[in-house]
Amino acid sequence: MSQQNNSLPKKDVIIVGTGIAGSLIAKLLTDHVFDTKKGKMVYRTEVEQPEDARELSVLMFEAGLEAGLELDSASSLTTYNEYIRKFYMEEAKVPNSPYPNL
Amino acid sequence: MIINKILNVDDYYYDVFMSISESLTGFSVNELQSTGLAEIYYKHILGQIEVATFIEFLNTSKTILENSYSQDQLNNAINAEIIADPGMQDMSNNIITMWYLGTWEGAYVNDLSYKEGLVWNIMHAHPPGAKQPGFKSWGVKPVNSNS
Repeated sequence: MSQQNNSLPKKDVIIVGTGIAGSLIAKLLTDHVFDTKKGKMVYRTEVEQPEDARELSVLMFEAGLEAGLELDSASSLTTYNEYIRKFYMEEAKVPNSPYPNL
Repeated sequence: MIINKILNVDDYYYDVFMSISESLTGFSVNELQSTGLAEIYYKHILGQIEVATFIEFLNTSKTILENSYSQDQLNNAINAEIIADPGMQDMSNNIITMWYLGTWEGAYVNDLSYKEGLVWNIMHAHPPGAKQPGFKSWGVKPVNSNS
């Protein structure tokens, strides 16, 4: 018997990473609702009967300051410089080169 | 060939290193100095390999440089004394690679060596992400190596 943890409601979609791609996915998803009559996702504005529409539940995960820039200007410069230095030192320069391994 | 004494570096072998680098890379000592990495590279080699091996290479280079009085003589001497000898050739290859790519045995020497590599000038390019070519550079036609 699994213990049901009700503190976190069940999610329909979990997005890992809130960068450009993650944010766009979240926007696209939340622009739509599930129409139970039609049995498919429809645009929010195209819902005919509001009681048929079911909201999507989206959870976004973000590693935060470990991978991103600090929000105060002094340490954000330090972090930025570290990224630049790591990029310059990497033998293979790929889009993920500047960032630390988490 | 006169080996120019570079000020502020109290190491005779350093001058030999710079002079032989000039011949090996085809860039003048001034151009090599302007990378800002000459001393760092010299010290890096000292830290990476046995000092005796490096000194042997530098002594050979010194003899070549002191006994060559024209560019042709120097080229021939380098061919005969350095390129023909497997050990010396390895060393010279590593030094050329270091100046051109900024790497020593595959790893960058430091965070500047990537963008100061001589290879970028040679191929009329820039190190991506380090020295951007500037506004409107996309309007300049690429260099045609056939022309």
